[in-house]
Parts: sequence; structure tokens; C-alpha cells
Amino acid sequence: MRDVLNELRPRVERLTRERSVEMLNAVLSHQPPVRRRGRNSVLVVATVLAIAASMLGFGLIIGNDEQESPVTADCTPMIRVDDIVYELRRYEEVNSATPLGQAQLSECEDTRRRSRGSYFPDDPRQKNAWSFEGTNPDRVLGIRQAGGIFSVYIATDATDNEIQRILHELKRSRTPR
Amino acid sequence: MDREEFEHCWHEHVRRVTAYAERHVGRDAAPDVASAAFLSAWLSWKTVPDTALPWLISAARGHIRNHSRSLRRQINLQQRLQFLDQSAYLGEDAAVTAEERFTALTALASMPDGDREALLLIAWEGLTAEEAAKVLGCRPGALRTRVHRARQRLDTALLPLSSTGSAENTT
Repeated sequence: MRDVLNELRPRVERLTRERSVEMLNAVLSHQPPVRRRGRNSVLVVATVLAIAASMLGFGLIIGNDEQESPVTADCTPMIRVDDIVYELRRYEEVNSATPLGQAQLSECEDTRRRSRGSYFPDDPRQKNAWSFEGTNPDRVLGIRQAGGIFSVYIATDATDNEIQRILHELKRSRTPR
Repeated sequence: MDREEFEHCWHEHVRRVTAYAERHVGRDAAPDVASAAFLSAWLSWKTVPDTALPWLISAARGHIRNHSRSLRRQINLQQRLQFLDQSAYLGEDAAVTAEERFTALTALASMPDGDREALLLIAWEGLTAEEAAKVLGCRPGALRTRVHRARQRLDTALLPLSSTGSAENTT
């Protein structure tokens, strides 16, 4: 008997690349929770110290800023090209892009107290940066991802209006397939 | 870098997870279920194993349950058949007659949920027996029993068609 079940196996190409990119952007717009390693132990120590102090008649001591501040770090990916720093803004399917040169990639440090977040190490990893047709490479660049999608990086000093305008332009320039 | 790993995982599995969701909640709601599963993965990325597909399908199953609860209804046989029909391959190159297709999908829709899930996680989602057992929360031995039972049921339903030779007239 032929394997009817195998013949009926769903083909997975139904989800279009455009829809997939939209979904990915929506998911990545949520920041993963910041890890707070060691915070519990700090709180336990602070509580014990506070109780001990109150028993000695010094009143309840509330932990200082050093003890209470949670670990927070912004790890938004960044790239650097010719001393211009760009920040990841979204993912986009772009048809017309030209290789520009090497971009330095940021690393993320978010597990230690007083973490730096995104930073450029002394010897950063590098990837090809691409410029998009009709846009200023000093303001926006892309890094090619799997499936021909680009992560779009915009200069960190761009205003909200400029960011929206650039993203709108990129979306508009996309040729319908 | 977490984000790069996540993107790689996304491109590798999003279509398969969406296809899985499609046969449980239909074509319209499937992308939402897949997105929710991947969002769960993104928010707890450190806990997602390297072989991510079984984890993602487990997460999708949870969201499918929530989806059904929010609609306050259990999916009935007719809807199950409809979702299976929507997600099963329907191409000119599929060497299956319309009658075989209908018979197979009806047999799948009418078998116990656990048996159907076990069979399709392996035959359609491509999981191993161990991975499928983990998704369904049972032992691999129990999983194999379910798959065997489901296969038998499917073969029994299709047997009259193959004996009458209708399989030669492919669509």
C-alpha cells in the first residue's frame, strides 16, 4: 500500500516570506526579560542586616541603591561603520541592496551587575554591511540575514520621525513579487 | 549572540510550527499561535534546547489550548476534518485520489486525539518517537503504541480502496 499519509504531508511553503518577516518583527519587539542573577541573595543579606540593626536599636535600615538596584542592560544590537553607530530597528525584505563594506558588530553584556548592555569589544566581530537604494548610508544600513531578509540599522542619533520615514521608504521601495 | 540564534531558529522552524498550528486552529489563527510559541521561546531563550522544534511545538500546543478555551468551545469532528483538509497537501503531484484523501483525513479526524497527534507528530512534523513522546508527555513506548494503533486504523480505512484498484486513478 502506498504511503498516503506521506503524500498528504503539509508543504510548509504556504507562509509567505513577507508574512514571516512581519511576524518576526512583532516577536522581537518584545525585549527578553533582564536576568537578575544574584539578586535574591542580595535581598536575603539586606534583610538579615536590617533585622540585626533594628535589634541593636538603630532602626530598620533599608538597603541602599547599590543593593536594591536590579541589573538592567539594554542589549539592542548595534553596528559601527566609519565611526557611525547604528541601532537595529526592524527586519525588512529589501530587493535592492548593494554591499558597502565591513561593519563591526556589538556584543551584549547583561548578566552582571552594572552591565554595559550593548558594547563594541576591542576586537569586534565583523559582517558585510549593505546600503539600500535611495537611502543615505550614513543614516541607514542593513545586515543580510537568512532568506534574503535584512536587519535594518539606523543611526543612533536619528529622531523618531526620521526613523519612521526611513522605514516607510524601505517598505515602499519593496517591489511586489 | 542570542538574537542571531533566535533568528536562525525562526527561519528554520516557523513554517513547520505554523503548519502544525494550522491543523489545530485553522489557517486564519495559525500565524498567531506560531508567533505566540516563538514569543515564549524568545522570552525564555536560554531554556530552549538546541533541537528547538519539539519545544516550539509543545509551546504551540499550550497556546492552542488557550485559544480553544478563549473561544469556549471544543472542536468537533467536522471542524477537525476541515482543518486537516486545509493543512494536508493538495497538489497535482500528490499521488492520491480524491477518495483516498477524503478517507484518510476522515479516519484521522475520527481517531482519538492522542493517537492522531502521535502519528502526525512523526509523519507530518518529522519528530522522532522520543521527541513526540516529550511533546505529548508520555513514555516513548506508549507513544509507539499510539502510533501503531493509529496506523492500523488508517490502513484499515484505506484497505478497501487499494483492493478495488481505485488508487491507480490519481488526481
